[in-house]
Amino acid sequence: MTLVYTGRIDHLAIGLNAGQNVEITNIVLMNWEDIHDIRPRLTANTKPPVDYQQPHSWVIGSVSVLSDNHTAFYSTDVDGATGGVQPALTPGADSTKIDYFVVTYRDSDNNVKTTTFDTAIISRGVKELLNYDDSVWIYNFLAFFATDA
Amino acid sequence: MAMSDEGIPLEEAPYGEYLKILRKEGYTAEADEFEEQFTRIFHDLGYTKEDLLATSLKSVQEIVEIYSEEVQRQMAAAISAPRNIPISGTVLAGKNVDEETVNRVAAIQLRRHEEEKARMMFG
Repeated sequence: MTLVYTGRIDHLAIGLNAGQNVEITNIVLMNWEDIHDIRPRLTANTKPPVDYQQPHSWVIGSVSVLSDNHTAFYSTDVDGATGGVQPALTPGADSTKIDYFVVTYRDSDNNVKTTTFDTAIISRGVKELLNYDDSVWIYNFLAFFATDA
Repeated sequence: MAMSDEGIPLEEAPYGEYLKILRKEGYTAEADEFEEQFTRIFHDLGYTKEDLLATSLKSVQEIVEIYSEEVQRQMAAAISAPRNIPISGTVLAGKNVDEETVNRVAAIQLRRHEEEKARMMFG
């Protein structure tokens, strides 16, 4: 099977807002869909934001980045409400909901588009080996909803 | 450099000629090993050893090139083989990655996505 793509991702931005974010450019693949009636089973160190309602309609998705480009998830401040730098993922601690989680891509007509994910949280991250030399990090995420622009 | 009777450099000599030179020079064990390896290669390529010996069309160099192309072709076919991955929603690839990497990652990632979705829905 060869996948059919509607366009190519330029970058995924994570951070506090449109003015304070980091652009991750080496995205391999990103997918998402709306799901109703899910009750998140999160990993031990993933704490859902307090206003997550269950059951709820969610956006569930995943994003993969090449192994040398995944560090933004562990170093970029994504939570403006808490002092200090709060990265989306901290080894051995709870995940933080991401204030600004926006993917920029081109649609099939080559128009630049964005999709913004509201109250996104990384629910699970795993490293997969592609071969002896290369690996890829795959992160599953949840969000309240997605807005296209 | 070893030459055939016709003065052809060894690596350009037809397969049968190559074996003859090795044996003539006294490299019997090497010739046997070479013949065994190439018999396997011929089999993979769908030729019989007699086909090539009879025609003497292909040099050792050519055979190796054909073989490596065939191996690459088979690898590419394996990579793009159907994997029955269910796809729903939006799927986008990054601009900085080649199609082969995208497809390889997709095979893993979209399966993981479905697993995660099932976990979230049904525990």
